[in-house]
Amino acid sequence: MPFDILLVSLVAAVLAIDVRTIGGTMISRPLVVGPLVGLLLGNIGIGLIVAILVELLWIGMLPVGAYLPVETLPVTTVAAGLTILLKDTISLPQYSLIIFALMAAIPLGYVGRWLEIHIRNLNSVLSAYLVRQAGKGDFSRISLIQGLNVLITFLKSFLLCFLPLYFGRGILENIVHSLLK
Amino acid sequence: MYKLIKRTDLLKILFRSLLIEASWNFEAMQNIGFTYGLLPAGKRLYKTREERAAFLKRHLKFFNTHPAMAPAIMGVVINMEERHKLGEAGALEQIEGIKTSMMGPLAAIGDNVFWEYLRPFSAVVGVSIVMLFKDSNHPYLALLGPLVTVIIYNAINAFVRYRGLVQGYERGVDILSVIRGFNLTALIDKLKFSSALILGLTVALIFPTLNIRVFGADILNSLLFLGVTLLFFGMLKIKIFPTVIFYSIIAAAILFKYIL
Repeated sequence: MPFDILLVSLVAAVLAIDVRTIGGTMISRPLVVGPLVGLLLGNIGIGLIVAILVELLWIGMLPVGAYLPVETLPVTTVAAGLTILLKDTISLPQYSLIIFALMAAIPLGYVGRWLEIHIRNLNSVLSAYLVRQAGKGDFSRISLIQGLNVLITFLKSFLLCFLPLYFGRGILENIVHSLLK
Repeated sequence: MYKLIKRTDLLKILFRSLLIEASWNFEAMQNIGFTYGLLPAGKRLYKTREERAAFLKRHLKFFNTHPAMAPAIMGVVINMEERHKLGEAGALEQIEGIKTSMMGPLAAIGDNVFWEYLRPFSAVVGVSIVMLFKDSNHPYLALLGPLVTVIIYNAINAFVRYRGLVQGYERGVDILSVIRGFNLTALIDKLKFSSALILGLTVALIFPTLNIRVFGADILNSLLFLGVTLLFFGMLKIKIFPTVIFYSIIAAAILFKYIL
């Protein structure tokens, strides 16, 4: 099971590089991530339902100008992952379980956006540094900073998917069980 | 054309342009990504430290446009840089003006075409495929939905990026006429027609699922769906958003089911 969670988080983190970095080729949208997570964990149907719910929740939010939308990727991955991992241990109808998992996962979208704002502020500092150093005519620094940003995006999404799935599994199970008593 | 810059450089720039938003920041937005994209041209054209420093200072300024439209501006900028290196006077002074005058209008075109029409359109096609196959004998065919979505979106995305870069480089400032030649407004009209068809399909899918029958005979119901589709086309023509219509359909279905 921990191996499955690791695999899902790694795949989600690779897809996350697309969000801002690879100019949005749609592979990081819930509609693609959800079924993929479902495929890896063995239940495509739940992946698709979660994907459609998340896609519809934030359908009107576009990354135009300086506006940052809520990050849908960790929400989709964690909601679909938790539902599939817990569906055998919690005796709830599938749709109710999806709602519980979504409830637990939605704050991650806001955490992701909060982190993204800080990454961009860091980039402002890096940009000012590059402008100061431009006189040296050194091209490699720019490539280095681009690579660093791809790595940061990867790590951010990996942690946002792996930690909640790995540690949140038991917590959500206990919460739902105590609610059902 | 292609006197100093090689075709392989253009290919490198095309791939690097994908990373234009990687180092996005609040102060100068896409400046690092834009400069990173131009580096292959910079390496080819400028060998001394002073020239490279001037190149970096020129391009590390504020820049922001739609990612799919950025290659077109990069193409024009490479064209001007090459002319400067070949000794044409005044080419360098034009670069800043070209960048600032092109990024606004191209961002508007890009946001409109890609985010307002292409993304909802490709997503709706994907969701329709999922709904068609989800409960059929071959549920795995539902996986085609996301795949089709990604392919439709990226076919147009890749075409605009590639043509923009190559034509921008070959024609320079005349690129604006090329972008008009893409005939994006005609494309939007076609997309509107397809959206209307798919919204009509949504009605045809949802109403029978909820067991709502307006007329007794099947043929009359089919005709009603056709009429409704044409009505949606008209609504899209007067700029009512597809999402508004989509939710109206669902609201109407619920009203029909529980009130009538």
